[in-house]
Amino acid sequence: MRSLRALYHLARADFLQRTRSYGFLITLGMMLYVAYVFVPPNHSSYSTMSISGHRGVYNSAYLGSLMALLISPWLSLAGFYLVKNALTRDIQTGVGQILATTTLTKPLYTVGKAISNFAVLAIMVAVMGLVAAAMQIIRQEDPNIQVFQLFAPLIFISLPVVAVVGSVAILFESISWLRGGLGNVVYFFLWIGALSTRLGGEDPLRSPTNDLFGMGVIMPSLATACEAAFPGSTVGKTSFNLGINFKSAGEYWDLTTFRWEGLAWTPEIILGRLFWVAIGLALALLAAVFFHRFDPAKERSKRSRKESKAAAQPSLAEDHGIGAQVHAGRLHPLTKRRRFSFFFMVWAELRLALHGVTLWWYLVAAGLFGACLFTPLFVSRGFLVAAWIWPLLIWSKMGTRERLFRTDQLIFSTAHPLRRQLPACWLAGVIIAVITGGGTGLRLFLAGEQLSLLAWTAGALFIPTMALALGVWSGSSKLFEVLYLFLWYLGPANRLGAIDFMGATGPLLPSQTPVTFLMITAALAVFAIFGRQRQLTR
Amino acid sequence: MKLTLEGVSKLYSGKVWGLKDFTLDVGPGILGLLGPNGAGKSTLMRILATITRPTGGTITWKGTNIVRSPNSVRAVLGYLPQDFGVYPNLNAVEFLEYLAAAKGLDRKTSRQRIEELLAVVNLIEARKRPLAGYSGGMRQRVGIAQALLNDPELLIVDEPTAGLDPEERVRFRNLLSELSGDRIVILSTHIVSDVEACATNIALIARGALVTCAAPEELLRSVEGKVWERIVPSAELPALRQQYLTSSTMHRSDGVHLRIVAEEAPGAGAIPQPPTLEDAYLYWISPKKGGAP
Repeated sequence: MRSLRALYHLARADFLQRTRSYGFLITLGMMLYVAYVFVPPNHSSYSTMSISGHRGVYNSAYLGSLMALLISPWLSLAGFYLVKNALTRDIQTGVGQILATTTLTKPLYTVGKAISNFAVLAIMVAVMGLVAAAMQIIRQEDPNIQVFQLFAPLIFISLPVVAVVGSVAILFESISWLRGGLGNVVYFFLWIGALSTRLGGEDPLRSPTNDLFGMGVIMPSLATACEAAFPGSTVGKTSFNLGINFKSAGEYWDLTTFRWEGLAWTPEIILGRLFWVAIGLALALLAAVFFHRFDPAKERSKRSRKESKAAAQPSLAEDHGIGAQVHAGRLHPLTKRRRFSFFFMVWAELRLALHGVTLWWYLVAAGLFGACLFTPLFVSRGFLVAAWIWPLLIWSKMGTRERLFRTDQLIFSTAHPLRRQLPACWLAGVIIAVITGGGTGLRLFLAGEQLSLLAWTAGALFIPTMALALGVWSGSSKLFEVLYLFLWYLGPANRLGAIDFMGATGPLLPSQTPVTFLMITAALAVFAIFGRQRQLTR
Repeated sequence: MKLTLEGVSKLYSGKVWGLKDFTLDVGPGILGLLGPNGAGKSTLMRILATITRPTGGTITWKGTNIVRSPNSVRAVLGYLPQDFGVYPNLNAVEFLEYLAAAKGLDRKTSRQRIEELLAVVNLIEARKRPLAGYSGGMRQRVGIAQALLNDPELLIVDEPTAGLDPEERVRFRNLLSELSGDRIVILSTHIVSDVEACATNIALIARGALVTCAAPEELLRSVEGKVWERIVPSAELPALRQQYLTSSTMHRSDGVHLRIVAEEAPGAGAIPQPPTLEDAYLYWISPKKGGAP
């Protein structure tokens, strides 16, 4: 009983701490907008779910399922990054040190945090449900709101998803090497893998499996209803679209509709979904195995252990003892006139950015540089994509260090921090981009490929500028890590010319793309300056 | 060299005054800023260090308004915040080199200066050790070193001795005294003995307002004839504490020795005592004089 009470209060306090913030309200506001966008009217420039040019009538069952199917993959990505800070916050605030001295057990702690993660994400799912009801009234295709059919997909499909995501978040936080930026990157690729396996690996309309995202639960029933209304529509090669799909300019989606009265939520289906909740619980308990209970000594790397050993050695001052001579050494006045050296500042920023980077990192970076330089140009472009993801965790610290390490008061009280330190930090990021992607840049220069070279330049400027702007404004490396990964995956990695900011697409790159990204870079630079100015004049 | 504060105020969101109509002239020497927790000392320090903008009033450094032109003072400013962090993976030399670059020192000068400063703050032995492994006191000494990097004309130190052991505290006070010659040092603390040891002037602050500013000897004079000692049985202690401003109590075999600050003798048998700065502080900070209730 006492354990349950502790669990409740642990989850409650964490939940309140998160939800009583402007950030949470902004996220909810965005969810409202997203939910609205998910239900486009007919003759719209985009569609969100269609089967061979058909969609269900916007009734309660269809809207609830549409929301559940669309929001589950997105919440499993954005939701993870949103809630992956419960343990970190306890470390940073020092609350963890207090909790560590209580009788709270490790499993209780990790389960409590997982419940809090779940509660935060569940609120968003609830918002989606309410908006779905509102959209049914707005779209007026079926006036009868059936509460169970509307909310059941969200309850049985989306809530198990967020239960798993909340637990994975606490598991990642409990494993020290997955807690930071590396964990963010690892999760992104896990997510991509999970989603592409589900959508690409088998026929999403025909596989009645209880997959995490619930497509196998809902899609066969939807496909059957579509087939009944439009015989032959789901036989053979079907064009199934899930997600926001735009038509070309001037074209619109005119989807024909069929009625679908929803799924019969049998005990088998519900038990199947509860299986995922159990997986979530198991993951939260697994997190307890890795949870260090706020003992820094248990989570340090080899290097850090060396540091601990060093710290354990008494310093000169500590060696002295009380009878030691107590007087300050002489400090000579600085006679030389001080002149700020921007080069020295950039060098200092570069050293700071690269500090702690292992030899392996340099070796891989050098290998990628060589590969970019010595392979045929079309292969070199592929290596550039890898070369410009490699320093992700270095770039992502830009603009965040001052707040993260609480050195802001020291830096911001120096002369002209906006004119000196900020540009120096930015330039250090650009230098890293130029050096790591330099092999391809050189090849493009020698080959005289002007558009590609322009795209390469835009990329070298865009990446650090984006990192700096998002770092300054969010105070965290996470936002850049997630958005950049997403953009990198969709644009350069998938050769989507419109958002290929580094020109990996090659000769097929639309000529306006580099120019667009140069303009975005300029806007981000202004955004960064404005953000830092705001920090300086708070 | 003069720092002038005129009607400086800071109103935080929620209509809480951090500082209210604060006026003070500061010249070369060490100004000790004393006040209870939450009095507004750190707010004032942050405003002077151009970290926080005041909501009202002006601050001029050598005639230039530093609220409007903060860079005019930043170039000659050394600041040790009460609460600051370090980059844990850097060692002391690397961290100081980074800040030296930000403060506009060239490489050669900064190297010499850093070596000198590390000797002064007694971190030579530990200078190549990552800051992550430093104790709180050692980090504080790195903070002191960074504040002195640019040989500042205006040195602002907020609770500088927090976390220092007694030996390091003495060392730091001596260092401040040595430095204070032709520069302005503002030392904020709630430890009276720190101020007693080196301040040439003391400003007492309570509830965001200046209570008084005077030389230590003037403050002592202000409570001359107002400090008393009474020896009472333990049972009378609570009532006397309620009635009088008590600066110390000591249990002895003959009863409790109470040190009382009062305008008149606190009852029969009260013996006048020579005042200390602590007595003066309590006297001026008491609610009657405008301090905290």
